[in-house]
Amino acid sequence: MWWYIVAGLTIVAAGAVAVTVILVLSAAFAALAASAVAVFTAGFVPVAMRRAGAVVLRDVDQGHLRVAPPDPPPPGRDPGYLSYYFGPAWRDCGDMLVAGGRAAVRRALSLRAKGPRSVLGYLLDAWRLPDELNSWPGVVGKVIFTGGLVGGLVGLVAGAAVAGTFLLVAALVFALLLGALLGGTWAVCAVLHLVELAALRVRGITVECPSCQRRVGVPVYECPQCQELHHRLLPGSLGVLARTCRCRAELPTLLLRGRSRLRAHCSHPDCRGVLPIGGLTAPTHHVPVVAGKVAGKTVHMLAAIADLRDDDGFAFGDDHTRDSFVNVAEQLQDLRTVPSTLPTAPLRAATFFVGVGSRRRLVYLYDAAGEYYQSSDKVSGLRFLGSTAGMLLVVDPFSLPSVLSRMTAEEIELPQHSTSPPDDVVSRIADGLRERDVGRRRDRIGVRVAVVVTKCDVLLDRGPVPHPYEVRDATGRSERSAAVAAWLADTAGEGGLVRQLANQYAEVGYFAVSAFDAFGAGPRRSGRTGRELSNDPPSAPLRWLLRPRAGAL
Amino acid sequence: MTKVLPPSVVRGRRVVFALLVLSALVSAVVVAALLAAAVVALGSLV
Repeated sequence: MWWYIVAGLTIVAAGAVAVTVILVLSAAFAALAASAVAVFTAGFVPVAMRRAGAVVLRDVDQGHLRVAPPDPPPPGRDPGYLSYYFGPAWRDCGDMLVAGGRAAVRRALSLRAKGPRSVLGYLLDAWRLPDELNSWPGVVGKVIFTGGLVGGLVGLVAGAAVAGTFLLVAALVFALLLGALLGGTWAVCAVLHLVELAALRVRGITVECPSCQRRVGVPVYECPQCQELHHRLLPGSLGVLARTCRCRAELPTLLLRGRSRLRAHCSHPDCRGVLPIGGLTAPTHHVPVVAGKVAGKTVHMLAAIADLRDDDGFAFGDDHTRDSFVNVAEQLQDLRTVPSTLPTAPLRAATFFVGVGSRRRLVYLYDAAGEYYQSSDKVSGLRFLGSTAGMLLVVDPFSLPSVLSRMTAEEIELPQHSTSPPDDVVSRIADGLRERDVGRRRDRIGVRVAVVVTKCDVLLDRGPVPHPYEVRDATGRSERSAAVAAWLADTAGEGGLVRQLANQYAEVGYFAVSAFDAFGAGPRRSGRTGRELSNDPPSAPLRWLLRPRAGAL
Repeated sequence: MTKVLPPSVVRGRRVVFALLVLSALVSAVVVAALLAAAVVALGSLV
C-alpha cells in the first residue's frame, strides 16, 4: 500500500519539478525573447531613417513636388519652377515621415506574406512551431514558446517605444529646422528685395519705357532661351538668387547678379515696349529735342550721338537705337538723306549710356515730330515731359525773320529750313512742363534748357549775317553762351525769346553748332572775315545738360 | 510622370537631407539621455 503512496508522491513531485522546469524555461525564454526583440525593433530606426533619406536623394520628380510651371500658367504665375523651399520641401517632409514610419511599422508589425517577415511574424511563426509535434512534447513546447511570445511582445512594445521616441524627436527637430530654414529663406528674399529697392532709391535710379514714356516699376523680363516673359523676376517663391525658367534656363533675380542684362519689356499691358538693356543700373536722364518742323532736330540728334560715340562708356541702350544709328556717318555726309520724323510714326526715345562709374547715365533722347509742338493739346499729351530733366531747344537761324530776310535779300543759297518761330514752341513747352509739375527752382521751371543754334556752318561760310562767335570773342563756356544769347537778341532780333527763357527756366545755356562737326569740331575759316572760328561740338549741349548740378553755369 | 528635377530643386533636397541627418543626431542624443535617466531612476528604485 505504502508503495503506492510513495509512487504517487514521487510522480506528483516529479510532475511539480517538471512543471517548474517548464515554467522557468518559459520565463527564461520570455526574458531572452523580450531583450532580443526590443534590441531588434529599436534597430529599425536606421532602416526608417534610410528610407526617409532616400525620398530626398532622388533626382527625379514623381509628380508629388508640383514644382513645374503649369502650361499655360494661370494669371499672376510666371513660367518658372517653384522654389524647393516654398512648398515642395514640406511635401517632401511629409513623404519622408510617411516613408520612414511605414518602413518601421512594416518591419515590426506587418503580417503580409509578401516581402521580408516582420518581428511579429517571426514571433508568431516561432510560437506555432510546437503545433507540429501533436503529443506531450508539443504541449511542453507550446508552454515554453508561449512564454517566448509574451516576452517577445513585451520586447516589441519596449523597442517600439524607444524607436518611436527616437523617430518622434527626430521628426520634431527636423520640422523645426526645416521651418527655420524656410522662414530664413522668406526673410532673405524680403531683405534682398528691400536692399535692392533702397539702393535704387538712394541712387535715384528709375526706368521709363522709351515707347509709352511711363515709369516702369518692375520690368517684364524675357528668357534669353525660350523668350517666355517673367513678370516679377524678383527674389521670391520661384527662386531666391535665381529662377529656373520653364525651359530650364537659370535667370538671375537680382540686378547685382545680372538681371539687367536680360531683355526687358514695359510692364504696362497695353505697351510691352522693349526697355533699354542695362536699365536700372544707372540714373535716367530724359531729354526732348524741341523745335518746330524742319528745324533740324533729327540731324542735330544724329550729330550729337555721332560725336558721343567715341566716349568711354558710351553704349546704345537698345537694338532699335543701334539700328537707327548704324549708318549715322553716311547720313551726315549727305543731310538730304536724313528722313524727316513723321507725326504718324510711333514716338520712341533713342536710348544710350554715357559716362563711367558713378557718373554713368542712361539718356533718353526724344525726337518728336515738329507737329507735336504746334498745339497746346498735343504738347499736353507728351508724357515724357513729366520726367524731363533737360531740354535741347533747336533754333534754326533761318527760321528767324531777321536772319532770313537779310540772307534772302542777298540771294544766299540756304539749306532747307523751318518756318515755325521758336518762341511759340517755347511757350507751349513751358505750359506743358508746368502741367506735368516737373519741379521748380528759384520760382522758375527746374529744367535745364540748352538753346542750340544749328546750321552755323552756313553762317560761317557765307552771307551778311555773322556767326555768333564772330560778333563777340568767346573762349570759355559762359562767354560762348553769352555770345550766342547776345547774337540771338541783337543780330537775330530774338531778344524776346532770350528774355522769355531767362524768366521761365532756372538754367539756360546757348550753343552754336553745325552737324558737319559731328566727327571733329576743328577751327574753320570765316568766308566773310577770314578769321578762324570753332563751333561748339554737336554733343556739347547734351553734355552740358547731363553735367552734375554742382557745376552749374 | 518622371522628370529630372531642376538643379536648384536637387540642391534644395541635399540641404533637406543634411537637416534630416542633423535631426537624427540630435534625436540620438536626446533618446540616449532619456534612456540613461531611466536606467538611473530604476537603479535608485532597486
